[in-house]
Amino acid sequence: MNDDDLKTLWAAREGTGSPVPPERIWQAARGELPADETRALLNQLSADPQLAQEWRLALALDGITLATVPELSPLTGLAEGAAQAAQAALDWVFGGQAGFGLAWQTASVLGAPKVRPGDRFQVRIDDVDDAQDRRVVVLRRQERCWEVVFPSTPDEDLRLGELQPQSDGTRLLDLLAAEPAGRQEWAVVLPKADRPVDFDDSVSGRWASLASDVELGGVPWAAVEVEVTPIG
Amino acid sequence: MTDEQIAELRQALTRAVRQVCPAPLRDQTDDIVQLATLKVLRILERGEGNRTLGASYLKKVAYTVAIDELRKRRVDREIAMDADLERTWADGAPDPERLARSSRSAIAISECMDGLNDDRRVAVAAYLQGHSVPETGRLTGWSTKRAENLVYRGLAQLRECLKGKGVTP
Repeated sequence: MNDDDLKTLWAAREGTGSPVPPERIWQAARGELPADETRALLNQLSADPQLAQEWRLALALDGITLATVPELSPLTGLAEGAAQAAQAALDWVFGGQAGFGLAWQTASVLGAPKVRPGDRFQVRIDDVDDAQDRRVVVLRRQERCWEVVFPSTPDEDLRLGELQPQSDGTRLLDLLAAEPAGRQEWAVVLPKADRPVDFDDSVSGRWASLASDVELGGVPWAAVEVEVTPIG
Repeated sequence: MTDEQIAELRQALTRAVRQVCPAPLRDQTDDIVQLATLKVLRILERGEGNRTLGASYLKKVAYTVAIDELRKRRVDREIAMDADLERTWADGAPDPERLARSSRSAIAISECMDGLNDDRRVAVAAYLQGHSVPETGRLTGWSTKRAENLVYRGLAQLRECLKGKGVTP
């Protein structure tokens, strides 16, 4: 029995299980859920033909390119600027399409600035009118999805207005370059602070409404690309 | 959204639903897609304003409404299953023996999957769903090497188990 026979037999199973929210299946099939949640769903679908079929529909639809519809996401918004960044290497300023500008600079001032894993670098954020009412959320691109790296606990709540304004009106945010070396994509999102974040929820659940707001264009965000050089 | 984009979304949805739609619902593909497209447009009208929406977002919305529609029809189908079965058997296609055989095979593959350890089961499930081995690794947080081992060994065990149950291609 070859792989195709097995796949045919697998797809022929019938039966229903407990429905899983479609958004969650969509995220899992696209690799946007944390690995442990994805493994749990895969385990579940091995005994649930309906879930397996719905997952395959997500894969099928995700694999189809819509030629006339632009792909808009923080990553795509970054694309044009990223090309310039690759040439300029550093000090690249990205004009966020959704309302504020973002620049990054290394903390180092000696020689040609370089960022290595573990180094601190700073992101310079253009001020917005309601800085006191905006929560700072930092994301980093991981494979096919964006992962929220800050805040990770309720204690880490930070308002944009808490960052000391610079003479030019911008505000600086310290970040830590992480492994692996190479081109890293970071984004800062500024949702309204009165939008509650349920830290008791799963990681994906807790940020689902933010992701949706960003996709709909309701939240200012901007992204930068950081070239991290290997140590040694 | 422009008319061209709506037509393209409908076409994409049709292709995807046809690809995976269960046989008993296959003749309803056009209805499912039509209803899903209408719902997508309604949702977009409510939330879009003057914003431009990305392809990923549209596909996600289309997916969620298509799933809702499929689930609804699956429930309707279960209610009417007895009548359907009688009609199918009376039509003479597919023949009852073949139906029973494929049903036994489907049960067998589920039982054999149950016999795999958790990691192998997860890896094989991802692979049978259509994910490549490297993709399986990325989804599950395993290295490609580990995913490859789990898929390879899991498939071997699955084949052996199916053979033991007399399931052949």
